[in-house]
Amino acid sequence: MFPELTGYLFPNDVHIAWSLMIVMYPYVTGLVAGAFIVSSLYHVFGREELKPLGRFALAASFCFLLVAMLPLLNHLGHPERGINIIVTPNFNSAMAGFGFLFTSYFIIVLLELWFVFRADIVRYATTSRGAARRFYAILSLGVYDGSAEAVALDKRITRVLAAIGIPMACLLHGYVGFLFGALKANPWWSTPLMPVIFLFSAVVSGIAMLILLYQLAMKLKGTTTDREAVASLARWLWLFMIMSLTLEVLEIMTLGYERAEEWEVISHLLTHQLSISFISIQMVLGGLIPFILLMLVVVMGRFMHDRIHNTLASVSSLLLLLQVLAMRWNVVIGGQMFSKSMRGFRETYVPGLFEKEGVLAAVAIFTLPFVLLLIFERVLPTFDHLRRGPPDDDGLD
Amino acid sequence: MRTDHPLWHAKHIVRMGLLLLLGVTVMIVVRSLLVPDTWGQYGWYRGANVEEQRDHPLQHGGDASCAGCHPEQEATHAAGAHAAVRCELCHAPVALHAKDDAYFAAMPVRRTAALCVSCHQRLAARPADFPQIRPQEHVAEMGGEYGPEACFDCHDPHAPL
Ligand code: HEC
Ligand code: HEC
Ligand code: HEC
Ligand code: HEC
Repeated sequence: MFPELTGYLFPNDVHIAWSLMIVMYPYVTGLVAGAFIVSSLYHVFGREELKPLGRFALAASFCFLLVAMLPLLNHLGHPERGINIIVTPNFNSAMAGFGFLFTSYFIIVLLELWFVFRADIVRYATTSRGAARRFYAILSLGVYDGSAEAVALDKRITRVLAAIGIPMACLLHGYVGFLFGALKANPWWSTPLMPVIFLFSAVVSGIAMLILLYQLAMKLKGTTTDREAVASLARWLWLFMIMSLTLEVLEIMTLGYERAEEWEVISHLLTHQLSISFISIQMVLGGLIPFILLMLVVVMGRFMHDRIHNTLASVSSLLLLLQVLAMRWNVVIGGQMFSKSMRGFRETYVPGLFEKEGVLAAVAIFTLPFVLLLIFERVLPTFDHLRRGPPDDDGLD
Repeated sequence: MRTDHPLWHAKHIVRMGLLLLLGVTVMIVVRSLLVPDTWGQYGWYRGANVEEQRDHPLQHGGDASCAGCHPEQEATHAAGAHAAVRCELCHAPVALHAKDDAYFAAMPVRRTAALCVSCHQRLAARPADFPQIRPQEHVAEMGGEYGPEACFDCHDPHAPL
């Protein structure tokens, strides 16, 4: 009846309940957290070389945040009931954390955006006309104070918000890993390392995405990319990918060395069902290769022509984005490919193209943040302040 | 008065604070509207739901509900190997068929091997002492010919052995 099933399966092991959408959810949330951390490297830690990206990264984080919930809602049979997790959170359920973390993080990002862009908003509100003028007036909350003192206050608040935002972003994404790590019935998920692995790979995907988006944005604007910014991002990317990959390998090594009863299924999983997505993609194509490429960029970048430097960084970023996607897939889908009996397997899972939770839906959802980012850029340009040059006294804005 | 003190330029911050306060108030109001009255009465659910569930009309009547009108089948069934399997499992709830001791709609009759196989297919997950077969092999072993109604050549569904 089910040729894709072998061995001893319980009836509830047959269906892959957590579909492609549940792969997309941690992927998109990871990009949120990663992009935010890049923006904080500038806004909190004052990494001057990342100044060209400070605002852009924040805007990108916000746009990904706006769609982060969509995969979950699409997954629910009754999306209109999704709000219940916020209205009546059950503290016995790990999921309840979502409402609090998501909402508070959302508010923090929104506030930080407002304070970062407020001076611009005020300027647009006073210089534009018609509907645009009214729109910016509303955004400015009717206070047109663009004085140096007010802007200095904004900067101070921005820094505080960004500082609060870092632990919030870490919690938000660590919590997504916790959802898996805390499921003790599933040996492929149940490890305290899970939140940490999720967090590090989130930062990896966020930085990689920004390396690509930043260069794309500069292309679209017809300006040159700031090589120092790309170089700095590449350095951070290398650091975080090393940590992320090490953790991922360590987890498998621990499982393999302990050789507890679950190794039986997990080793089979890794060498059969997940051989391509884990070994080939997550470890080699998306792990080892970008590790080497980024090493070249970081160690020998000085001797490289801009073009080569940025291309190598972009290729590594692309591969790492794929790596993180594969990692999410291996965790989420991999964890459902074997039976809780530890004696049965599902051989394959291929999401349909046109299913409600299929490939097309995933692509559509994943396109949305980029469209939102384009709109955001229209409403509040994230690079203009750089060209205007500095009335920029303390270096941060 | 000094107007270059930073606090003179905090008007927008006050407005944002008020807006946040408004947001929180709206959230509290909306929440109180969304949470049902009897929420939490017994546990993490709507208390009134218990009564709603209880007030659902009964669909199943058990074997006794059939006995009055189908004494023959009831007798065969009670004496056979399927005595432990309820009539309504293989047929349908009595509420779809008879009401107030009067027949009103046909009862489904599933004269198919698929019905039997849904319980008797050999599966590793079934208790070992439950009678299980591999349908094709079983029919061949017993000298029959497999088909969608094969089981009924040799077994009476009401008393299969
Ligand atoms: C009020 C009397 C009554 C009750 C109670 C009743 N039935 Fe019937 N049932 C009938 C009548 C009358 C017919 C015959 C209808 C016909 O021949 O078209 C019938 C027909 C059937 C048939 C279809 C026979 C066929 O050849 O199509 C099945 C099966 C059946 N009943 C099962 C049940 C089961 C199971 C129950 C208990 C859950 C039940 N009935 C309860 C009166 C009743
Ligand atoms: C294991 C499944 C099963 C159970 C349990 C079962 N039936 Fe049936 N019943 C059938 C099937 C299959 C037929 C069709 C038999 C045929 O066509 O030879 C049937 C036929 C009938 C018929 C139509 C007349 C006949 O005998 O063919 C009636 C009436 C009936 N069942 C009533 C009942 C009642 C009353 C009970 C409970 C006391 C019951 N059944 C329990 C499977 C079942
Ligand atoms: C709803 C589940 C169910 C369906 C459908 C069902 N059976 Fe059964 N069957 C049982 C149960 C339960 C027993 C009793 C097992 C026991 O006594 O341990 C049983 C017993 C039997 C036995 C006796 C086995 C023995 O060794 O005692 C036979 C033969 C049998 N069924 C054949 C059939 C046939 C033929 C059909 C299709 C008309 C059928 N069953 C449909 C559940 C079902
Ligand atoms: C050619 C006749 C024949 C056919 C057709 C047939 N059976 Fe049987 N079946 C028997 C006989 C005879 C027995 C009793 C064997 C025994 O006691 O060793 C039996 C026993 C069984 C048992 C009990 C097995 C056990 O281990 O206790 C089940 C269950 C069963 N049959 C189900 C089915 C089902 C389901 C079908 C339809 C796919 C079917 N049979 C078709 C003749 C048949």
